[in-house]
Amino acid sequence: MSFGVILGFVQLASLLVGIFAGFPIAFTLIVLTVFFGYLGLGDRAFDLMVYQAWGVMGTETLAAVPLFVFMGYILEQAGIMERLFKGFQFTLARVPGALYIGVLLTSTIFATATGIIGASVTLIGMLAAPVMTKSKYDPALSAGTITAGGTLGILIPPSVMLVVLGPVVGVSIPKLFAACILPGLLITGLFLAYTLVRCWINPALGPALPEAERPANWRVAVKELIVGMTPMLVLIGATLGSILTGVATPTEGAGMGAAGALILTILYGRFTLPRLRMALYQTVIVSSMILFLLLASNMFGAVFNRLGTGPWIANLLVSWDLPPFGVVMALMIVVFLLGWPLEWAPIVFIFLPIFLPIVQQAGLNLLWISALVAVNLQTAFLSPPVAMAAYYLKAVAPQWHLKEIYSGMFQFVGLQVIALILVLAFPAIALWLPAVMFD
Amino acid sequence: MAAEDDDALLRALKQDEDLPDLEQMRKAVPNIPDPWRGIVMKIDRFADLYGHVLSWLVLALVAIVVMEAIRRYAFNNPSIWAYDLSYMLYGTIFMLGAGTTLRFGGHIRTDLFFKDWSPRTQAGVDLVFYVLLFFPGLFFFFWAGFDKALSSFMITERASASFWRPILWPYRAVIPATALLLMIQGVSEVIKAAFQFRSGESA
Amino acid sequence: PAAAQEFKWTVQTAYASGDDLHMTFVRLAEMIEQMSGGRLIMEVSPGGAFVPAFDVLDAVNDGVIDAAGGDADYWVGKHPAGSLFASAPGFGMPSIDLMGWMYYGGGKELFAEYINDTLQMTNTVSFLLSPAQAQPFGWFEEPVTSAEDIKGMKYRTPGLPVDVMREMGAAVVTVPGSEVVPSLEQGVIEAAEYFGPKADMILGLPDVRKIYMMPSYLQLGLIQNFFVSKERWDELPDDLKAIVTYAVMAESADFYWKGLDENSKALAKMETEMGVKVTETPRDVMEAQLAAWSAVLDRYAEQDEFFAKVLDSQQDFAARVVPLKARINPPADIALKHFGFE
Ligand code: NA
Ligand code: NA
Repeated sequence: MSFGVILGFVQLASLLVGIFAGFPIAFTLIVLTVFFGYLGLGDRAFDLMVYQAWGVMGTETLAAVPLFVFMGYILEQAGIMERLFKGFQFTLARVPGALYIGVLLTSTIFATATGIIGASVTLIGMLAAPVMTKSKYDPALSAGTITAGGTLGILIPPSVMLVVLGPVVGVSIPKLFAACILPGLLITGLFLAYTLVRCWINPALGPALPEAERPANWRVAVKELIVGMTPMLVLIGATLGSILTGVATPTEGAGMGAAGALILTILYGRFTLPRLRMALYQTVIVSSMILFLLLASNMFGAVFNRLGTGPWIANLLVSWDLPPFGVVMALMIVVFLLGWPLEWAPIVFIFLPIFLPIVQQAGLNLLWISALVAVNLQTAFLSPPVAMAAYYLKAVAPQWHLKEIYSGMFQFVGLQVIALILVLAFPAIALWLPAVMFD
Repeated sequence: MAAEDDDALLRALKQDEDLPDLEQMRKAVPNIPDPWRGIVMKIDRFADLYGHVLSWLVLALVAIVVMEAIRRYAFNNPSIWAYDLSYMLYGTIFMLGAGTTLRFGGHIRTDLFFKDWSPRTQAGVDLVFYVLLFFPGLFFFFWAGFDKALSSFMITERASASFWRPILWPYRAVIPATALLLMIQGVSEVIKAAFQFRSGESA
Repeated sequence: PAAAQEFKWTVQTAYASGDDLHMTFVRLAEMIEQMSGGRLIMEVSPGGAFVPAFDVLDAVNDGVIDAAGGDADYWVGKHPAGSLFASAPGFGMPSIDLMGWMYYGGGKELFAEYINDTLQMTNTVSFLLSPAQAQPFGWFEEPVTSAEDIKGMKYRTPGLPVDVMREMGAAVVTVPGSEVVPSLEQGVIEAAEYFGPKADMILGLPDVRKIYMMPSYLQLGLIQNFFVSKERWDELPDDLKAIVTYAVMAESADFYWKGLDENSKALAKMETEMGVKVTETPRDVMEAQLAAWSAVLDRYAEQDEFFAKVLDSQQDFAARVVPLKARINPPADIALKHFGFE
């Protein structure tokens, strides 16, 4: 073990200390990068940081983040999402946990439009968190539902992570997209079942509407749902529709959504210049928080990798000469563990390529392995301390403590593990759809 | 934007009770004696100001990407500049906005323990971090970023993905500018933390 | 005898890890490790591992990584002459002939001048590696039947070919690399080219388009580069320097041979198993491509002295070599017909 490898491990340990000390997480990551980078690499580490910043700044697809955040603030001001969730609650007035269903369905639909976690968690958080708080929903379960639902976008195509993962493993991107659809829907199903069962056992987690607030009859409920749904359908048309029909790229689709929200506000007579200025200003602050954090975690991952710690772990595993099943298990466990401190990108870039030859030697189906890795990496967003989804939500739902958000997320990490085991045990979940579509 | 306009905005926003209160988002300036108080106010006002400039860029970004989709789809006539402009605007907004975000306490902390500490302990932790780690870290980031922008300027580097090929050094200069703005805001945060540490009272 | 010294280099390429272009650096590393008896080891990572793909050259020059793989099409933003050393059609010389210009027509020296003086990467030693076969015209919804069909077509390509396709009247759309396949699938762009049969197949292009058009003068192959930090290079003893130098040449030849094997297999697989229809590009389209290239190259040469100098040097070599090959090589169609390969 070289000096660099040891430094990398110390860097990880320091991250835990630094983050829990309570200094802003983005700067903790940057400061640790500077410190350990300099110890291990000299002043080259500073250049490495600039390259990482430049990489994030040049990623055009991330321009969707400010666009979706802006859309969220405009919608919040116009009260459009509140009406949609109200409609849900009205229609399902007697069902405890109706809002969880609303959040998860919205997240799943949203996931088919974008794979940018920062955008989906923030947008859904902005719109759902106030309603959930007002309706006295359990903070932990609410936060867990929003963060877990928001990360579905990275698994359900299109997704940047899958586009990067495909060529690394050597499987076709359209096939990988197809392979991840059913696991994605399986996870949505697990999330739905979990929240509903918990609310059924303990209705206090997602109280049904109080008798007094319930609609007089089903006609009122349906009307509210339609009134609530219509603007949302217009927006989905503008965002999703424009992306899925090839009118717009994902970034442009986000822009269409923002413009659509703005037009709706004008139509609803809710537009004022001060409101617009406020929405724009908050967009700057929240986008900056999200993207600066992303940049900082990329810097941290790059220096960690450059110190040689990631390759060292991978090479150690390769040297163990495991049987095929052992290879899969080792891969899954290490990806899961690395997902705690790191984001998906450093794992895909450094760890997988070293590990890939033994996966190939073991004669394992690469499409299946890729789908497993994708499900596993989705968990990385939900596992603290570097759990981006938690921080994104915290930025727009300051009423919830991180402790509550973490505890909600941990429940959903458990569901992710169940999904992972299911895909491990039944490879057809991943392999059936691509076989039907492409063979 | 002048300070008066800004206050007018705040007043207008306050009357609109549906809106989150920007003033509440701002940390009120605690009891800091002059001349420190003046420095803090000036730095914070500066961060507000470039925050406003950046916020209009968000609207420009919306306009550009929507126009590009329409141009390409309806008129089969994609522009040569929309691609480069959209990532440059997005990058400028979030990078330079980091200083404004720091001024509003917008960079997320882990509040597991932090929220239970006394204001003095919180200020002490902040002081140690800012002075020993934040400033040195950002100084090196500034330095390396400046170096990259300079060499880009020297060879008149251009972007190469699109036909437009805009000059790149101004966008590269956003990196050192970000570090600089963060360090300037850091001065204000350090003064606030120092007086909070001394008085033991939170702002 | 025991190894006198051990050198370990961190290498990053500008490519995705399953790509042929990336794999050539992995094999180069294997060759060097074997030849040196393990004294020089290179750990090769794909694009984005440490720095963005576009920044590998700068990263070597700064010493952030020890060596890098890329091609000069990536640096046309720094200076457009990069394209002439990578995939521009070089007066009708495919990349394997362009290698001849590099080694025996003054190209190598000009390339060093490009890297060290024009781009001011003074801390970098550069090598020429792995000439590739000509790149297909790409993946289309309908076959292109004439140069007219190109007009207004939403087409995606990188680098100077963007200028060429615009010159031909295409509505060139800029889409980031990661979005090419989704953009084709959803129809944001109508057509796109990537690299070659095997790489295109791995990327999944046959899953979103079925018309595969070739040949094309848009990119008559590609020459890659291996960049080593000057510090790392200078500390190598002479025998290791020789091993690197000749391993680069050996891998260059092997890359071409392997490319013939793998690309022909990939093309057959796409045609027989994946429903891909390979369609021949009409002659007038290729003529229009060359005319557009000449217009673009002349424009750059007028603006830039170094660009003009490289172009002149290529022309001198091509004026001898292109006619030689035309005279000495019998036309392919006779053999195709005689052996029944058509
Ligand atoms: Na998605
Ligand atoms: Na994590």
